[in-house]
Amino acid sequence: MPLFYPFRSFRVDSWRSDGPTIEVTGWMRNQDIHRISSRATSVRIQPRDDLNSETSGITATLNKSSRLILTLRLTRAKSRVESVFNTSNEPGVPPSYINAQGFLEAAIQIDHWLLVKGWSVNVENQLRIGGKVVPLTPGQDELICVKRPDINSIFGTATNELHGFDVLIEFDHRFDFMTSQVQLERHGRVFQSINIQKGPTEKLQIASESLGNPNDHDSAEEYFRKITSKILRRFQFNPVKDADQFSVIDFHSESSSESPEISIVIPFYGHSELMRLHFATLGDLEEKERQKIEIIIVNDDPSQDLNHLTELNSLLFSVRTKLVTSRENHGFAGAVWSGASVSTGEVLIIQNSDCFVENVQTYKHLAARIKNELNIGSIAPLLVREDGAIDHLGMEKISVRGRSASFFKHIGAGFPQIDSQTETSVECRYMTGAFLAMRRELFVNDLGGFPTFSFLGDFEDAALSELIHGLGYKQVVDRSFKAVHMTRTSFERLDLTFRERLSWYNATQFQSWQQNLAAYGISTDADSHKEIK
Amino acid sequence: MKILIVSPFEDETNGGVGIAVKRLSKALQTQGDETILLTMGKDNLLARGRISTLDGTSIKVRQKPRSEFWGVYGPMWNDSAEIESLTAILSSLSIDLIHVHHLILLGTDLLAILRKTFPNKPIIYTHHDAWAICQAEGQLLRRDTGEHCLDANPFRCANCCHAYGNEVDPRNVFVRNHFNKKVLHLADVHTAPSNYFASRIGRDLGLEVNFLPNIPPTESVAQRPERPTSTATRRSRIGFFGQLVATKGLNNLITAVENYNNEYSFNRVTLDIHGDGPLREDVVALTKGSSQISYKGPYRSADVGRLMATVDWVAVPSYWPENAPVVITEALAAGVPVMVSSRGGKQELVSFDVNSIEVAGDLISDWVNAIAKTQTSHSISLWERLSNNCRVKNDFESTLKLTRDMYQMAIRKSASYLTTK
Repeated sequence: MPLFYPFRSFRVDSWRSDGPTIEVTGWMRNQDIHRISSRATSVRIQPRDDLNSETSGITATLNKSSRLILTLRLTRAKSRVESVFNTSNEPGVPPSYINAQGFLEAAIQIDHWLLVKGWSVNVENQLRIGGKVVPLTPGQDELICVKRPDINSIFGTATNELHGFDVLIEFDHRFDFMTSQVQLERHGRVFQSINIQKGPTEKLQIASESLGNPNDHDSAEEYFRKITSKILRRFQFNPVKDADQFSVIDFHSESSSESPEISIVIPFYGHSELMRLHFATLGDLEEKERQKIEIIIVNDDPSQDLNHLTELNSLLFSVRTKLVTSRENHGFAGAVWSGASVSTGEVLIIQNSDCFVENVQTYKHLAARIKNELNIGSIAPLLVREDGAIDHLGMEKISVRGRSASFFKHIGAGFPQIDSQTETSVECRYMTGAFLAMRRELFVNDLGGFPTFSFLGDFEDAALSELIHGLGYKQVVDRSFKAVHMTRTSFERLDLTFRERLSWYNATQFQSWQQNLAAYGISTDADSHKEIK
Repeated sequence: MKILIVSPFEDETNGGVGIAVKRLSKALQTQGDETILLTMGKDNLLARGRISTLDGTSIKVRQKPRSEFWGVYGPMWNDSAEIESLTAILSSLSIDLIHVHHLILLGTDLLAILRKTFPNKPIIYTHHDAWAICQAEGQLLRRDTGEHCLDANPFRCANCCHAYGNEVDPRNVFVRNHFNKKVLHLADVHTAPSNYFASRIGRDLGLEVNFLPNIPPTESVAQRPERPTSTATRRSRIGFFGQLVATKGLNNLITAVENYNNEYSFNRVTLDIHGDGPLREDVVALTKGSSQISYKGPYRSADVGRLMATVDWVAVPSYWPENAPVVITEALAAGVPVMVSSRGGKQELVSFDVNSIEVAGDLISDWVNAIAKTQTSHSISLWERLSNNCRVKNDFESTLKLTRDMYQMAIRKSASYLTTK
């Protein structure tokens, strides 16, 4: 269901004065017809050849008076669409269309933000929400003005004075959205009041709605990026700012005397049933070896309680365990950071919850290489799928011609393993975040986690690879050990459309990474990638 | 030695595993070993708690709900208090070794609890079926095609489970099998009562699995029950002994006997069916009114020698690649030739044309042909030759010695490991 423009379904095309009445014609969306109410003396709905099957023509007849108002009320949001006609009683003067002072289309609460959409004809118009006043003046930071040809078309003009607006207003957490209204006013005169709709509050839902559909011609790429960047920026993980956004339980705080050598950070967002397999894997180690490893479970889904399950698994398999619980869903980069920041091992291993090593010695082997080969920035085992086919042997960047977007393709994905390849270590330009081993110092101290310009559940790994590569380190897939990756298990919670949108968003954002990377003192070589149509 | 034997089944009520466990326990006791059984108890016995030491020789834990069998991990230990309670009871035992015979219905996690409780004691795990890698009752029999499964993988397994009436996500199959594999690695020694299963399970689980036969019945040839003198000129009485479940292939055997008798009405054979199971009512209905086929009802393990003496042949028609069916060793111990196919581990227990008749396959016609082979003009001499050669390949004394030697070696290895550690 579209979040934006819920009332774009009604439009006036023309009107004509005929004796004591005025007849207004226009169209509206079929699905809203049953919601209509009007002050008109008659409203006729009929199909029109020039409209598509989802819309119908509408003709309303109004009694002529000094001031007539056609009101079509869509009861869904208890808001009104008004078109006002000035019908002078003076002979020879035709009725003229004077628009209202502006119009509020929707006010939607998203988390503790309010997104107000509409149009305004006067720069002195302003919004009032619960005592807070927001001037609708173009150029303000929080005000995004976009060209609205649909609005201009309604008024039959191309005037530049008509502005559509999308305003994102941040409120205090205590603000009561549900009892407040949004008013459009000028100099104390209220033109319109609308109630606030409850929008999505879960982070990924918000992102899904916010991203829009890049294939929709109504929201061109530039447009939706402009609209969404405000909301999306809200979710960028800031390690410093968000350091207090999680709680930590150390299940072995008393029994552990020495620091572990390896810390394995596994973020969970759903699919907690997979946790037991990770513990069973570590349980296979000898006691002495097991003590050298700590597992850090990060619960990135605040709606889920993993305390008991984590404690139980820790108890059953005698594994040093910490549980980090996020107070809100941070996404992969944030979840990994929260786990990494409480880790104590010299070697840090980032592992997806749906990624399992075939041989528990993998950890020890990769850790040894990381410690002994100082030119290696990150290392991973060969990732395979459940049927043994390759899932990941590094990634390569692929640009899409005609679109300012870059994707990362998993090399060899879906192909059977080629046993004839005897090369154990394969150097890769980009590595997947499904399984990465690094020096803790590099990830936590030098890099400060995943790049802060990365975003939800996708592309963070490519961004991290850029940084590690830029710092001059090698990134290696060690084919002598394997891990099975059950691809994108956590993404099952998102619908397919959103996954596509998210990938597109991140792909388009990649162009701006180069600027961000420059902030790290790193330049990228944009030439080392393939291009597809 | 003091041995903790772990098995969900403790007697013949639930088939071969229970019988094997019971015989092992008794056999060890003859050598002065002490055994304690950790097994599954009935709910009504455990009203006071989930774990009970009712008689001092066994610890009974409540059966995990069967509904959990199709879960990702099968039955699970999810209650910390229950785990701690069991750990406390087990810790009070002074044992030398743990021998696990199955974890189905007890929960795979139990092996982790045992390992945690006895970190320095050797654990021996005997694979009685392919439960760890096969959700179709561990029988490695594809329910969608009827073929013997030679390659378990998540996608093929999901198809098989679908045909079995359970929708399973291939990824869950992967997780389940991967989990079982990881947990089973906690055991120090793995065994299987057939080379066929030792090899197959070992390959799929990435383990070294040793051949260790089940303890056979104690009867020696001299102790065989006296066989009633046959009044007929042929050896035409066929017996079936075992669980009345579909994969035992009883339907095929019944139809084969009927077809044979229709074709050779002058030379008919009889079939006596002994056992119990979910298909009992079907078997009763199928045999009702038949003069050649009769259902004799359930039997106790202790009576099997006496009952086998009433038939001339024991047929083992199961069409899953069985591991080491107890019924074959029982028949051979009782001096009764066996009719069996060469699938799976069955052939390892017999010598074809020496003490058994080979059935070419699992088809009804294969069984008709096999029956016909036993009823030729030379059948009397054939039967006597085969019967005289009936010997359990791995007899009681040697199998018990092999088992105890393995125990001793595991204990020594464990002690040696501890010393070097």
